[in-house]
Amino acid sequence: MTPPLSSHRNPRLLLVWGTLASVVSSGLFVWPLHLVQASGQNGVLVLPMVMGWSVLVTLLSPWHALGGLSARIEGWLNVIAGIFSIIIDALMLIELSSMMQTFYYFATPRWAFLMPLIAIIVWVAAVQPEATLWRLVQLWAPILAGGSVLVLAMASTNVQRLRVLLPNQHIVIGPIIHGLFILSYLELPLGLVLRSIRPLLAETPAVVWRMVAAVYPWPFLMMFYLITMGTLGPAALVHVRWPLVFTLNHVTLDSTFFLSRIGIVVVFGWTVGIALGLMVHLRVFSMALARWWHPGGALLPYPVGLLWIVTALLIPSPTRASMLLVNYLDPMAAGYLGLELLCLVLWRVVGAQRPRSG
Amino acid sequence: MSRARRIANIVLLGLLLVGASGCWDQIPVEWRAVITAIGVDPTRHPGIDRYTFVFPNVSLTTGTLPTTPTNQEFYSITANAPSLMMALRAVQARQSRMLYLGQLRILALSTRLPVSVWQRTLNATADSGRFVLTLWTVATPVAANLVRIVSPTQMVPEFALYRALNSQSQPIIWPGRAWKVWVDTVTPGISPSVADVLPVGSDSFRLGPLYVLGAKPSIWSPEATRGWAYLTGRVRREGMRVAIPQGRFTLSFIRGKTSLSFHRVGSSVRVDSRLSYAGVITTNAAMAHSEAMNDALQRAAARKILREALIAWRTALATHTDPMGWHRDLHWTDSRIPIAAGASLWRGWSLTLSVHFAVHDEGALE
Repeated sequence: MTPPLSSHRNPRLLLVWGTLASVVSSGLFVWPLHLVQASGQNGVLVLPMVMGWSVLVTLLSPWHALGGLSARIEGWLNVIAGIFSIIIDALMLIELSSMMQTFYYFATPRWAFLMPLIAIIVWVAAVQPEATLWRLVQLWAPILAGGSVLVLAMASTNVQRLRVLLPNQHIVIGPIIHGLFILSYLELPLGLVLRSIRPLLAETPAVVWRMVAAVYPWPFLMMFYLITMGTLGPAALVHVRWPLVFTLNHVTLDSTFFLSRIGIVVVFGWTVGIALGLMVHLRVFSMALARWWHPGGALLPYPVGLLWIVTALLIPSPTRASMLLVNYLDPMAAGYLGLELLCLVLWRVVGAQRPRSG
Repeated sequence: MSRARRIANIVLLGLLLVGASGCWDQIPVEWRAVITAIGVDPTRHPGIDRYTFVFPNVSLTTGTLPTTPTNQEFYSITANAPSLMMALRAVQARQSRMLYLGQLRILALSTRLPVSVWQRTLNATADSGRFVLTLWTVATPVAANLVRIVSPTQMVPEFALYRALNSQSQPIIWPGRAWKVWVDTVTPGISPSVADVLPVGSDSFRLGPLYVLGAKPSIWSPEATRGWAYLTGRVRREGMRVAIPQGRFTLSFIRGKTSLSFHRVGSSVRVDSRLSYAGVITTNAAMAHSEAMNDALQRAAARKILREALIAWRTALATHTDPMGWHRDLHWTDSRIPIAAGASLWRGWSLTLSVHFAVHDEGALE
């Protein structure tokens, strides 16, 4: 299935941009609502914890091809993670389409802007050669990363008080742990993407670069958190459905002549961001499935694309999508992450007892 | 590429062009009625308010603009309704064009309206998704009069009041961006505030003083408003006249920063506020001035700022409001501290002020 990869592909950067595209895409505009609902102002403490978890997963992940039972377990882990990330993506598409409808396209039916978007995603993930997707990731992920830093710098003028960005003196462990669980949906694709990109790389990247790749998405989510929290504060943030949309919607550039609002840049940015993330998820899922079921893996993107459209039309309410995400998907994702960590530790223990077979 | 595949690609591209560009249900700008300002006033019937919608006259063209009298550049439609949304519906019924809210600049609410109407109206604008809340909210005695003011220099579609509030030349940074007022209404521990705008003559207006939306709305005095601006670090280009034995002087371009810390002992809270401001003398640059005179000026300016800040503090105590947001800041430091309301709002609070003023230069005149 996988065509041989040219040796000029930069293994370090592909890994970094790949994880960025797959993690940040799920945290674009709903973020950090659920975290703040759970942990309030102390949500800021959760992100360093997640970063620590990412480093742990990266350090434990084996960077050589596994054999025997381990390979089979890895295959199953990838399939489970793939299924979860596809369902989470479906919920994110519901959020994206209802957000677009609320703010920009009041009269346009939902399928009209979902169909072209999903068609492009499926086309890149299934029809185009493998290299196209990874080239797209390496082109767009840096552009979006740079663009978001620029946009956030403009939005930082709306931050009112810096005190709200620090944790509250009243720290309760329960809500912080709850916040950590809520972030499971964002953490889920990380291990899957790292394991899926591994066999594509011409050479093994150094440990430092693997860690950079695992940690890199979180500062972006942290920036989104700081800007929305600083603009809205913990009390108002939980009143809005899409905090980042609210924050960026109210950036005014009245002093400039040509550009007065940044809305169009932002909408473009997160549509491309979501599309990129979904393409990566779809591709790595079909790669995981292709290990078990050869033609099925290649054909998978088509039914998934259909599933995304059908769910977005069947569940029109973003509140319901959020509810499904927090109440059902998150506990399952947390369970998966626990299982993944257990497997990683077991491999490490078994690997230490036995010489590596390569 | 095979022939069939090429045709399929062309068809797909065509579908994408039509589907993704949205040109199938577009509404061109000449079909839209752009609302520039909304004014809300009470009526004699409780629960029914009078909404005045101001539209730029889109029948004007660039060519006819210079010859059009200013009073024809905008027109207004009024509707009596129980809520903003109902008023919008009533106005839409009388408009041949689609109402468009994305360019709304000013939302003026009468000072005679109860706070509940302010909150309801702000919530409606925040909830609908059609309003872009970069508009300014202002208070005024009669909103219909204010929104219908067309200043002589105003050109469609600009709105002079919006420009004035945005302007960098305002002495203080006025409160009242709609999104921020809305954020303050849903955040405990801060009394939302806006500028009270008064019409001057038939074609002008004056910004300020502060209108604070407590349990009972209050209009602050100009001194208290300036004091509030010093206490919250919103002074940008303030000016003041000070008298010292050497004469009367004007200090301009006053700006600086305010730092704040809270000290809690038991149930009492002491706010330590350090105001550090600077300005330039713009009275008489030719006059020889000494160190002693500079010192006297600095002391006099600091005294004046201190006096105004204390007036603001006393006004907050008297009106049981907190437009500084200190209760909110304290709550963000430690959420266990309950936020009091009403008469007990400031119980146990005290303020320690230290003001430092520096005269930076002799003046702008060369």
